[in-house]
Amino acid sequence: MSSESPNGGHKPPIPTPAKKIPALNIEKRGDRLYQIDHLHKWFAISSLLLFVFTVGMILADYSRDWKRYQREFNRLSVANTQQDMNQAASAIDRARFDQLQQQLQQAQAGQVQNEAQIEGIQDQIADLQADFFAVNQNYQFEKAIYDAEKYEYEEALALKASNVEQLGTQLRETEQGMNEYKAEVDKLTIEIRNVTAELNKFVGQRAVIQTEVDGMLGDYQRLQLRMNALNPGAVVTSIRNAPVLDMLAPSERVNQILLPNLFYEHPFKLVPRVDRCTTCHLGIDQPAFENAPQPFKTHPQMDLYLAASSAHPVEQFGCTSCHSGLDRAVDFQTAGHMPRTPEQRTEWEEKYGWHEEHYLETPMFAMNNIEAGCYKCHNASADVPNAPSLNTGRDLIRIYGCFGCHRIPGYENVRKVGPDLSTVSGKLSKDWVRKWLANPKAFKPEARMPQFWGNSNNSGTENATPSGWDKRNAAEINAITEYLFSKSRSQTLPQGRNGGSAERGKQLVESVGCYGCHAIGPIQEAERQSQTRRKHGYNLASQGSKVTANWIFNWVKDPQQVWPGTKMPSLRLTDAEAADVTAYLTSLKNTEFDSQALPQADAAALDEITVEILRAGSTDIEARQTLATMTPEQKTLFAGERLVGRYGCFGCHTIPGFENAQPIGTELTVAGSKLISQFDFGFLNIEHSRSGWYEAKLKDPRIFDVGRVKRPEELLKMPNFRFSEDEVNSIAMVLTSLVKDPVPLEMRDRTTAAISEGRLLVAEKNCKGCHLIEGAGGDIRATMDQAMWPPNLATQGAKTQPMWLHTFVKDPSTTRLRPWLTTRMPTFHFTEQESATIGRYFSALDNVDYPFITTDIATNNEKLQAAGQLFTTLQCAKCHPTSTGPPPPGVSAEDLAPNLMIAHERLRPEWVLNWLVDPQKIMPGTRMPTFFPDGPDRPSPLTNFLGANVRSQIEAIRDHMFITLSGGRRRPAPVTSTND
Amino acid sequence: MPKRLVFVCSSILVLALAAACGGGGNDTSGLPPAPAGGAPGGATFDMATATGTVSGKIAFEGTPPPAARIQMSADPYCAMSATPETSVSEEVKVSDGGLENVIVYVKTAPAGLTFATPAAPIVIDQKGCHYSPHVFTMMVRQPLEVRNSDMTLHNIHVWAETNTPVNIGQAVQGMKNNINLDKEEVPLPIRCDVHRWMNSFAGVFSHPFHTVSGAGGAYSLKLPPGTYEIVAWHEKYGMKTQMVTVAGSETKDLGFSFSAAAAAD
Repeated sequence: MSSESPNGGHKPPIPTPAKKIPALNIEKRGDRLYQIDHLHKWFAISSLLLFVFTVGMILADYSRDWKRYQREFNRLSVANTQQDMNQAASAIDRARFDQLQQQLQQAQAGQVQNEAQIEGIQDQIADLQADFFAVNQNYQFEKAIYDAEKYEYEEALALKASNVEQLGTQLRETEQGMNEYKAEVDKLTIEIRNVTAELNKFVGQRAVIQTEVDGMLGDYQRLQLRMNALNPGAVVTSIRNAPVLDMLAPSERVNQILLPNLFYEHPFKLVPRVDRCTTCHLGIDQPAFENAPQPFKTHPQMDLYLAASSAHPVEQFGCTSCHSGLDRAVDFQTAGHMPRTPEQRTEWEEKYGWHEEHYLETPMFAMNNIEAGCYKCHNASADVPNAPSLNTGRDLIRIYGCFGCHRIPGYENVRKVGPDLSTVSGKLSKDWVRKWLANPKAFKPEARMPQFWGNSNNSGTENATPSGWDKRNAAEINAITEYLFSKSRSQTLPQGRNGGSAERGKQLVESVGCYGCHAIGPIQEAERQSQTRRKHGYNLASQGSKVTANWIFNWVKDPQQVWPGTKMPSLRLTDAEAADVTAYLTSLKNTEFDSQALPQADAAALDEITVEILRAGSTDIEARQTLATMTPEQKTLFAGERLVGRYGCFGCHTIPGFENAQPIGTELTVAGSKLISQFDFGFLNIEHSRSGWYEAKLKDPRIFDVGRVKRPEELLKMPNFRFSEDEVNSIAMVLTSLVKDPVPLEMRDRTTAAISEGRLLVAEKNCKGCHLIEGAGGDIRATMDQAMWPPNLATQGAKTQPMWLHTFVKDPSTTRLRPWLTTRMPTFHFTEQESATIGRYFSALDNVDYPFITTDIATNNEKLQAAGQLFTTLQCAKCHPTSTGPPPPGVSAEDLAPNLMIAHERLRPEWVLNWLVDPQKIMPGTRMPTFFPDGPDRPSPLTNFLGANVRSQIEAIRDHMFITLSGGRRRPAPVTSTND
Repeated sequence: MPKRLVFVCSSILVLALAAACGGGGNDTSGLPPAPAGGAPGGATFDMATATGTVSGKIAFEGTPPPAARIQMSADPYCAMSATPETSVSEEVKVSDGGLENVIVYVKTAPAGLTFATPAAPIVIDQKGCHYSPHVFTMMVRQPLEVRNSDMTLHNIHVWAETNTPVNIGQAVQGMKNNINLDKEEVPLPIRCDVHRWMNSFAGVFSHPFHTVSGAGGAYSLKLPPGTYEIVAWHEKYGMKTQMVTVAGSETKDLGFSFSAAAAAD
């Protein structure tokens, strides 16, 4: 081996010719490190490659999907316009057109005959116009001088200058000169007018015909212009959209809506949204594309969305603020489109190569979930308008009490959903509670109480402890039951009445109004009528197997006597009625449940649980020592208390000792913005999206423990509610709707406090279970004949007087408007505050005065006299009782309408005037007919009264009702002054 | 060199400007070409071309329930003016083993046809607190006149779901009102809320292929050749459907059958 050292004494090795390396071709390379002819080759290859790639890039850029869609849309628009043009063409009256054309030709021929004369006149006009121009210019100059001098003169006058007189003379001179020019101008104007009239004798007819022809062709020509703009020809289009040239005025371009006030939240940075959806969704705001294929289809409900006059103009709201998705994307995949069904998913996968967009935190809401997009702005009140599914989801959350464990916006002040357990020992038996806890749905499938034990992660053998899940679950249930009973206060209820009839009781339950909030057994779906609100109160199935007859009697007689915190109002049942209802409810038994074996607990399982709990705060040795010192009863109560805390029973029930406990569930305030990477999908093969996770969780809350190795206290705790598919979807939609996107103040739902507070109270008291309010509700209607329906509260604020409504809701027994009905408005024991909230709410909805109004009526004797006759002619009393007595013989009570005797203290006088014009308009389906089907501005069919004037007749009827029938006040006639 | 560059640039600009200003220059004068084909939507259907016939009997199986007597004492006028015909319910009317008052119609008319709306009005009379006819069919926008021949208050309440609901009070004898029904709707119940027993049912169609079974449950429909879904609807016994194909001017026999037992379920 030779040394590398230059001064090592050895000669450097000389390359032998045999080892000559061709690349080192020194002769050709000279003193350069590269070889020119090789470089030529490399340059040639690389420039060729560059060229190929550039061409490829341009081609790729020019065949992007959105360009393809724009071309396709252009074709559709052209076809549409062509169709319109054809229609416009066929709308032209051809005969008339030909006739005009002929006349035009004749006129033209006439013009040719008189050509010489016409030309003479035209020359004359030209000369005159030249003169006119010259004179007019002189006049204008002179006028300018005059104006300047006038100002100088005025100024001199005001300043009392010495040259006032001189200036005055000068001004008058100029004025004279100006007037002379003006006279000449006027003369020429008249001359031109005369000569033009002369010319019109020859050419005027033609102009008139031409105007008519233009008018006939107007629509067609307008469309033709549009067509030319849409389709200027292949050459022009391809030049406009050619590479490089397309920087000038391309017809294919990215459309975008800039939304400086709405932000897209990137990590650590808010970026204003730029919605490019309209790049492909080109027909979105054009009604002509209603039946076009996607992406060109018109947006539905344009009166509500998109249009400038709608509540959500696209310039202000854009698209992604409601739909979600990636605002700047211009292709199907990255925009974050989400399929609504598995079928659509498969279709998209085939058609667009669609796949879940893993890096997009805000995919679009699938169309069946679209209502989730409403909530971020419409979060001020209990309901979101036009979002039935979302509202159902929110109702379900209210009904099932999810907010007991999870913080969810909008439910901050809602009472716990479960019954108060501080007096449980007076109501239930221990054995019933044990069986109920083991499986509430076995007692009644409609039970709202979820199942905590025997779920997918605490049954079978997976993660089982030595004593096995069955025994362990039984021990937990037993411990909790014992704890609850040990803490319960005793409650002695008065002895109720016995011996009611179950049959009469059934009739009462079905007719007094229980079904507005309750159901018995499965709820039958009703067409076009929601039944969700009938889950507001407990399902009354199997009551006889649960509580004693005496408890039921006391409860239905006045629920607040038994539990002051209950939401259940009093239906003012008599003792006899209460006994009947009691007899019926006690007859509803679940014999299968009654004969079920009790879950059997054993000491080993209890020890296992107790030691686990003890271990949490100390060492295993200490825990076992403590355990050894405890009696079985101590163990049970200790474990019971800790388990109540672990499972969060206090989230729904009032339990002594847990008054100030904090909810145990995950906060869901921004559940719709939780990063997808933060969800634990476990070993499940489900869609990795927010809604996918929430749906799986709601279907089986313990499912994510599958395949996991955990200790009992580490297992997922959320109980199983056994939600149906629809319920799962609605609730998951609510969760995905809880996003943290910042919404500017001016874009939020501007519902006033009066309305939002009212809506919350209406939701809490389930008023919509019986009444239609703001167009929704009335669930009880599906269970009874229309004659028995509780009233539709449309225009309630405009209809009833504030004082009357206030007193009525506080104590409905004061006015029985339809005393013959068995359905009755219950007594809710509203506070003054709550009654006022209701009054304010309805008044605010209808935008009427509250609370001070006048009900005096200005009328005259003539009107009142006619009114009496009108009242008789229209036979109003056939349905509306005008006395307090019983209905006339033979008349079914159900057929009667409200008593008019209390009209003056109940109704607002102005409302009656609107009501009588067309009752159907205010309350669709009302049995009250209109007597003026032609409307208020056409003559009344009753020609003999008050000049057949509909408005006067309606006023007269109102005056009759308010003054003659019910003794209301008449406004005093205005006092006319006598001392002038 | 610079000269050439300027030339290239300016020619590009000119071309682009030409493109930007493209369109609009076309000649717009003169008569536009007449579009091919007749009036949009096709010609109005001529009933004479409905050469086929589907007819049959709506059979009633089992014993018809006895016609319920109507209690009219609520309104003395009604009780006074009732006749033997008007004072029994017409809900189930069976003669010769056939069910009357069944609406028989073609579910969907052949596509692409437009039908003339008859100008003759359908008249419902309220006489003796009773609607006549009890069941009828009509075309959309066909005039529907409601008369009150009684000296008592009636209200004509059309319980429409797709049409606009109507509820008009007629307090004076001889009053007439026209009701506009512009959408298809079967059945369309019409009731009087003052007299609960008074009711009538209408079928409103966008085509002329509909009828009501008469005496003996007989009906007959004139149809152009084709395959149809024929529906029979009765106020108590509900709906039945059958397919039928008619060719040329043949007469097809198509019977329906309703039974008392089915309704009891």
